[in-house]
Amino acid sequence: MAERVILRASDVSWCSSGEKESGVILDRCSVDIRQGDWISLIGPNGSGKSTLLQVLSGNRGFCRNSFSGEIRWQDSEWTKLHSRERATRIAYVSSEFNSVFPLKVIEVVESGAFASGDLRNVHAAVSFCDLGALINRGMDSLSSGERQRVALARALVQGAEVLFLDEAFSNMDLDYQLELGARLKGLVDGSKDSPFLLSAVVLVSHDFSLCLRWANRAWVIHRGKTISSGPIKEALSEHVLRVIYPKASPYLLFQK
Amino acid sequence: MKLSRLLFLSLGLLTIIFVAANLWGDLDIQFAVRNPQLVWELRGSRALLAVGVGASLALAGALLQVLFSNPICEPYTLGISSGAALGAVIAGSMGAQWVLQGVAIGSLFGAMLFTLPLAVLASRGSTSGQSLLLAGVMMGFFGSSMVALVMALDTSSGVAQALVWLLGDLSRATSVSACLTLGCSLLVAVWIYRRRLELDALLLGERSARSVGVEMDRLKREVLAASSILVAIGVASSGMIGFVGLMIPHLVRRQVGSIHARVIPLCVVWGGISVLLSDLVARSLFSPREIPVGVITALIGAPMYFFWLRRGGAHG
Repeated sequence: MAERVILRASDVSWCSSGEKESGVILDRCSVDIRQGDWISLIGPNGSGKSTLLQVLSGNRGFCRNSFSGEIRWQDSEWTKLHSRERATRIAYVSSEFNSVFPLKVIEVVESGAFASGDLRNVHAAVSFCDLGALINRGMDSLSSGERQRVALARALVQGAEVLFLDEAFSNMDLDYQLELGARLKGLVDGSKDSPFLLSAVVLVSHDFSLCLRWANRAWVIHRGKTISSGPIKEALSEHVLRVIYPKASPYLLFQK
Repeated sequence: MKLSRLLFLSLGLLTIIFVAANLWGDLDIQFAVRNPQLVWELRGSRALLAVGVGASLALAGALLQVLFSNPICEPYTLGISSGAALGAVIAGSMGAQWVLQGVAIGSLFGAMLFTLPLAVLASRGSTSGQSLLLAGVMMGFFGSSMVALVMALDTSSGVAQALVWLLGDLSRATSVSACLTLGCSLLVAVWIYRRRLELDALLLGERSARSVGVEMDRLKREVLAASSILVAIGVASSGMIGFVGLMIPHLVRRQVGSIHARVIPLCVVWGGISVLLSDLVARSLFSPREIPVGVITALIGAPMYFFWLRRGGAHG
């Protein structure tokens, strides 16, 4: 089955500003995202997972001193698109999400519509993330798991086709991790009665059971290199797991 | 309370205080009514200038706090005020008159110059970090020391005048300087109001703003340019008036939240009210002696803010 490729990144490298030698964070990563994909992005701390997602989503900019490689979104050159156009295609959700200023939940969710100006899906996003009772609460009165649900709702309002969830479930309780994950999976699989058109999800998580639960494919990154990518069973081979998690791999193999 | 109603009430209050500021003082009221031209020269332009300065400082504070994701940012803490003061003092010691033109240009240069390192740091990385704030504090110390140096070396009679001016002095207001200050601050407010959605997205941090599609590099440049212009016009026309830029944005946010469609207009009006009221107190408390208005803003502002924090605003 040859699904449509949405995003293809070839030889993407990134180094922190101007330090070509010492500051290399991503080293010629090549990955792609297809229609209907749920991709688990797996790697040790500091291996470059967040950087990869931020670079792919365009959040780090494409300054020549730091970035090299090619990224294509379907037929267009990704790096040439306006930041607003990129935001309606990819939404990046990070694990930490708070403000030092007084903000209500509903105000935050609505700010997701910055690029599209389309507020029609705010209500649907609020109920998707079960935030109905919280919309008039201040962000600083929420728990970190609740804030992560707000972050997800905002990303849905953004209307992006691809969601990058960078440990975006890490502080949610187990029920919400499973429930919201399952709802997103339903969207990716093409649920009819939803206003959200979601084509693919890339999930970063250190919870291995969560990584395996919905994913059909995996990217494995180690010291800035994509050492393996493809269908999840093949990408997470015994050899790969031993490389990235020398100590934990016996337990993971058992779980798999 | 709805924004339109709050704004209407605030504007009404501003008008009342403005009229009061024109009538209040040593002059006999009957005499004042018979000589409106004189009253305008003495008090009207001064009141107008107070409104303009307050508006620009409050707005600058609100912008800088959001840009650096730090509630203690304001023109003072980031050193921009010191830069503007330094430029003004240098221009003054070089012979520019203590009127608008020369000193204003000097302080505009100073403010821009002291914003430059902030802009360089901001363009190289995230603005959320502590390093920017520290850099601003350093620039502030550097600027104040340079001001002290210039004043120590310059033995002309302008030094005593400059000392008063540094603490904030509205007494040199002319109708031209007043209209220019208020006009410029309103223009900048309108300009930055068009970026209100970008600023809203920035409330959750720079990374988060980028992920919803805000073009951060351009926004940073615009916000820094806008705030240095605001600070420069404030400092150039009336010296260094502290605390307004810090306090007013917080009062506004605690009352109506942080959404900029509400914060920007209310900062302009409340900033105007605060300096106008402070100046009224400053010139009538120990009349005929005048106290520098910057002393009053801090003396009234600090306890009031503390009280407000303790009570908790409508949005807090």
